[in-house]
Amino acid sequence: MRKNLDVFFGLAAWLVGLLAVMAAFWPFWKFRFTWMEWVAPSLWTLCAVLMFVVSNRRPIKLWWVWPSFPLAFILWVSFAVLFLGGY
Amino acid sequence: MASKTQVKVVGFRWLSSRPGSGCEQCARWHEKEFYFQPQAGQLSTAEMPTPPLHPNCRCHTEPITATTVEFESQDGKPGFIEGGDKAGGGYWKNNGRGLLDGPVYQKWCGKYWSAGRDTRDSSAKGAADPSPADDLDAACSGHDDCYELFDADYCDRELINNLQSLSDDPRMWRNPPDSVEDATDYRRLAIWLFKLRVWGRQFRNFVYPGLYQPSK
Repeated sequence: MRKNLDVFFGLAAWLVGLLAVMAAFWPFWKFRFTWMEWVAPSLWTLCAVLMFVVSNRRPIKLWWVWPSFPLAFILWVSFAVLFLGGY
Repeated sequence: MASKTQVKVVGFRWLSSRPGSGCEQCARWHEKEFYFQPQAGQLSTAEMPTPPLHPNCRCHTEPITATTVEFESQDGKPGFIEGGDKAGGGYWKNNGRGLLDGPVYQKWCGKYWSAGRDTRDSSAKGAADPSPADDLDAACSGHDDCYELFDADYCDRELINNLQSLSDDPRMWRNPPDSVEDATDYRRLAIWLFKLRVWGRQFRNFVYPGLYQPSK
């Protein structure tokens, strides 16, 4: 378990991202906006940092966690897309 | 198909108590109509006298009403919203709009979105009743009006103030929304969006002073 702790943190980061996407599209709970606003980004950052801290692997082997970044930051990525599009 | 019928008072009609044989002072107003938003040739309610005009005057006014019917699609969408996906309280990519046009909410909230239609589409019909659906919609409508008269930066700041002054619980608004979840999400999204716009202008002006010039 300790050997794969970094993998668990990476999976936790993915879970945070998926929950953020669900919060964006389905009003399934009261604090969904707060989740997208700062909770999910903070948790994802924490998971990603912990993953790299506890990992004994080469960082390149943990590449699979990065695609979850736009999911966890979906609100801010949406704003960036809108502003780049001229909003 | 579900529909929402709305009846609202658009003016008043003066009725004399004895139109044929009453006093001249009252008879001249008999069946005259006065409107809150008069069209050409119509009288304004500001011009309407208030009964009684004299002692023993029994003239009175009756409201003039207008009925609008807004059809809703089977999934509860307002009739003026066609297609689109809901996210963050608003509809995206509806009515032929692109993803980068951002989300719309009710009749007035959204880029190029006024009275339930995209202003770039001259053939679009829009909402049967253009009046704002709730307080959030009214704030967006006021933002549009502000752009006609004042600078964009001033109007954006005013909108932020107006949105922040609304209660976090939409049920406490003077004109509450149909969907509390959608209104809550879109209000918070709009506050962040316009804050980022204002900060972006400030930053650009800081980096390159004079880059942003007030347009009015």
